[in-house]
Amino acid sequence: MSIAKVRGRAGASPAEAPLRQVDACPTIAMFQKVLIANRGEIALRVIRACKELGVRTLAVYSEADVDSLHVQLADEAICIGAAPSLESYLKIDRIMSAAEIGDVDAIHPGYGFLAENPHFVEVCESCNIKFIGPSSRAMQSMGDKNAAPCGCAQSRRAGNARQRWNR
Amino acid sequence: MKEIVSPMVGTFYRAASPDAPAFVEVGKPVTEDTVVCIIEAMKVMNEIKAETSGVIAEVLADNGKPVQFGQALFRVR
Repeated sequence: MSIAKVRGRAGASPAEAPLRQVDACPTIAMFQKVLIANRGEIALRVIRACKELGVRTLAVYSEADVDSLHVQLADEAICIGAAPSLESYLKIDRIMSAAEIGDVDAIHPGYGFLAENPHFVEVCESCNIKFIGPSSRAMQSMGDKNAAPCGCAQSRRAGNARQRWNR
Repeated sequence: MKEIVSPMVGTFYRAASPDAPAFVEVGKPVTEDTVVCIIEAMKVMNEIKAETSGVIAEVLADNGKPVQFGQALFRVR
């Protein structure tokens, strides 16, 4: 059974294959369980992708999001703090202790919040939890768009563009 | 009836060590500064204070089990 066995491609009538469905195959999934350090539509997309791959999901939420869809659709959910995101979704220690309690292999940051925080990536590495995203080094050099000779194409382009504007 | 709620995510312990007596039992009076339990988060043992005064009426969380933010731990009369 292949994980890439996708039904519902162009050509198939919608009645035959109404949903794009990938066979869950936990033996070749990279992770058993993933913590999603985000909320709303972002978290829902990650949960959906995990379900397609047969990976269990752990949602974290603030007190403001108790009734959110991502809390209901994830396999498990842990409340990590009060409504302001600075006291919940942005609090690294809360996310990490939720990861510890939930016994997850990996953390998906979604985007925004901790997704571009190199320190968070380092914390994940030190706790032996895979951060689903770039390494902290890559993140640091991406963040510094003036560091032209960093070897990263996108950052170099940004640096060149800025120099052109400054001329 | 008031509740003492968990201020963090972690593992709930009723005593300082596995063979030590529990910090509080049902019927014990507590003041604001009474330590009622420990919550372990990221290998750090955090002593949780009652922050209310009264008499412990009920223990709502199980020893050694994970608790989440805002979860009720004790009921105080």
